Amino acid sequence: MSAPVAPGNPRLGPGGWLRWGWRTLTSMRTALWLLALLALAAIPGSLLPQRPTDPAAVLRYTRDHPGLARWLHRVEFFDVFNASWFRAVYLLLMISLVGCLVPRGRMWWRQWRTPAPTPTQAAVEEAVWHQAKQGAQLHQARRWLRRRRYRVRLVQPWPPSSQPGTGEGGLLIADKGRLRELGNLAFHLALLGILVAVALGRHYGYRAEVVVAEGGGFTNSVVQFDSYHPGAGVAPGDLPEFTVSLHQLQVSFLPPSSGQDAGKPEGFAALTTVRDAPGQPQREVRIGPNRPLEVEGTKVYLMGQGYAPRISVRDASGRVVFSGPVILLPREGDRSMTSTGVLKVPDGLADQLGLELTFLPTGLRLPTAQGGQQMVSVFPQASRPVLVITAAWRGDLGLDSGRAQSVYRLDTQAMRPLPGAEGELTPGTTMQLPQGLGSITFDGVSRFAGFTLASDPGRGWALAAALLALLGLVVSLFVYPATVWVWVRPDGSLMVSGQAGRGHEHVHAQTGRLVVWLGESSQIRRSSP
Amino acid sequence: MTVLAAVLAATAAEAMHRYGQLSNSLVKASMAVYTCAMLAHALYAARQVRTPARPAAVEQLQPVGVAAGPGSSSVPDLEPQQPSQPQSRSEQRVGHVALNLTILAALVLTAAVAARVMAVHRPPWGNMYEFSLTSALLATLIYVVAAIRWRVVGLGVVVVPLALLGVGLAATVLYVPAGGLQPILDSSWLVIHVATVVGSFAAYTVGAALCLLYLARASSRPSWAGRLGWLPSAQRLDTMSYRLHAFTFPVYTFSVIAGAIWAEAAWGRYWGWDPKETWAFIVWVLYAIYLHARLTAGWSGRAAAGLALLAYSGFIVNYFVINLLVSGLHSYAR
Repeated sequence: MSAPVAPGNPRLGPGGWLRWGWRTLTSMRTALWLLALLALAAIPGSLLPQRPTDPAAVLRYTRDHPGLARWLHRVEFFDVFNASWFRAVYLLLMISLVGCLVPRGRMWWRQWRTPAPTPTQAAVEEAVWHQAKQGAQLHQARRWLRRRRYRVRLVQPWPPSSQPGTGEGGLLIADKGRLRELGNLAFHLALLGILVAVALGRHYGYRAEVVVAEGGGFTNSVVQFDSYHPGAGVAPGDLPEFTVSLHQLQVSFLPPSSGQDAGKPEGFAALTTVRDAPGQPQREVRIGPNRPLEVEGTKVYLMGQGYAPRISVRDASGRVVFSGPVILLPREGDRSMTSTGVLKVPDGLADQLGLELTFLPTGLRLPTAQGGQQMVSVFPQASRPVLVITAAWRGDLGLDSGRAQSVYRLDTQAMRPLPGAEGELTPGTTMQLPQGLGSITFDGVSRFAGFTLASDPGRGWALAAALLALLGLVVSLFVYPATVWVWVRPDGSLMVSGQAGRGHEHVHAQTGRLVVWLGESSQIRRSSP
Repeated sequence: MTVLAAVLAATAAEAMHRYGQLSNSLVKASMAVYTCAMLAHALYAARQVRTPARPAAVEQLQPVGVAAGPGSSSVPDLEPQQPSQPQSRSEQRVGHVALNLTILAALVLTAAVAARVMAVHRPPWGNMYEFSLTSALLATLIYVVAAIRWRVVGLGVVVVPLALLGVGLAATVLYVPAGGLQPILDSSWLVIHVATVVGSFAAYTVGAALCLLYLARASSRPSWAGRLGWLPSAQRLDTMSYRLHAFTFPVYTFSVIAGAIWAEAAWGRYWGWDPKETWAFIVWVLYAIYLHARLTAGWSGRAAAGLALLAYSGFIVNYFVINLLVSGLHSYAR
């Protein structure tokens, strides 16, 4: 710690420390360090699984590295971008930015309104001057500069101390490039604007997910979602009440003849009818990748797909106790779309029934390395669909226990195995369940679609702010401030000098061009004796 | 009807295959020409390396018509200039040969990319293979323009090997046969977003090469400084590097914004801290720090060049490490 108090200087009171802290925080050096810290802080967020984007991966990681994960949880490394320390860095950066922008904005405003400052006589005499040709006129120089959008102002007499009547000289002061600082301010303000738009969008927006099988549909209301993440400013009644019915999900895969790309998805389209509000007419909408449905600011994206075999279960007397599509999730990374899931039959049978299912879109019996045979899927299109019952359980499904339960997994705590139920079904076939429970029929193959619903009222503002930032950036990088002085000597001859800050030396080239335009270049001379 | 469709599909597949093969051969041919160009550049550099007879006094070249006053610094302009060390006729000839070989390599690679476009019927940046080819080509073209406008053939000593490395990695590690696109990539934003990313990657590559040359040229070790007299002065290299970075930063910013717009259309959010997005942000912040340091804090020279190289290494991490080792929504490498 270096104390800002030098020996012998008065000690700083609390106000002084505060002022010192503020000045340090709003200094450019601190802002740059904070920026660097922000970049550094983002790195763990890209290397570790993050809870908001992939909660399952976080669970996997925690299971695989329990010791390390406990520490990582403690320092919020699994949710870096919402972590308190990440927020602290960008809030400090915002404060630093505001503290920097306010005085700069004020200074810019003052400079914008006042004409270019009159230089001291010493500065003029120190400058490097180019002599224009004899007979060159001041109004020519003025016109040339005006055409290049310089502000022009004449100071007469020059030098100010010269005696009237001794043949008056004058100094023409031309400057431009004040837009540069405006662009700079706009860029930084727009960055703050992006942050505000993001915060607004989070507060007044929501995200939800819903999975629907063909023939089904959903209403945009909280009770129908499989998951729902509202912002703090969203009430359940705020959601626009539109309805989406999924008629068909078209999926095509690259054919087996396409070499190593075989089986890659080629196209998706969800054919839906949408009712924008109760009582409104329906419209047909095709939802696909890069083509979301939009209703009153809520967008509906097709984000997932898979198979949902239609299954009927009958009791011993042949009465249907369950009928409909069962959503099975494709195994991760399996290009042939082998899908797994469970069927829960809570009512109508002698006991509650749970079945573990695997669906093979193109099932083939292939020999295994051990000499046996195994049913595997060789292609994702449902051309030889096979439904495999891999395990069965009877007892209490636990649906009334009050514990949250996944629809894709069985809670077998209160169940006992039902041996003999394993088997393979093709569409239209029926199999008897053991112990006289009844029968199960594979009626046919449907698909399901996973939709993500997102409403973000800040997104338009974020885009506008981002474009403003880009515009400000371009202006601040490519508009150069420049000052040109034209000195009319008492004898009427003209001298030209360009003044450049660091990095804007092309002013010299410009003044050179002015001198050439005025007639002839260009003896350089210093005016001082 | 079905027979006709099948025949048409077969012909299309056949054509795709043939153009794909042609493209692969042209890529190999371009690698051969790139190798020649690289050797010519090495020769160009080697012939001019002189034992450090003269100290770095040659650096103080002033542009015509400007004298250094107390108020104005003396960074020279970028008008074409001779290198700070006079060249003999034969040295100049070697430089011309090196540059012309580079142009030839770029032409062959352009033909390879064009054949790939004929094979796949879409912009040639749908996977890492195509992205690498296109950015190597673009970096070469930027170098050629810089070499002609700014007379810095010496820049090719770094850029040409880098381009060859890019093409070589593409042809071996990253190779993907000609094929279609993943459905999610089938959008006009592919043209805008990825094209600007390719452009900024290529320009930042040339910028990084300038920074490397600057660091070598500005080195305080006399053995280095004396042997590199054939390069432009350290000040000119610094100015060129700044100009290129300042030009590229808005392009890169635009590519990130375009990516956000596309992400909103494809995934339902414009920013989600996907690993690729996170690193795009990190790289953006690093280049922003570089520009601030150059413009406002008045850094120049080694610290600034180091920052620019750090930012560029972030880009490299985003391209190789994130694409190949970290899975995320942007995993389209293959």
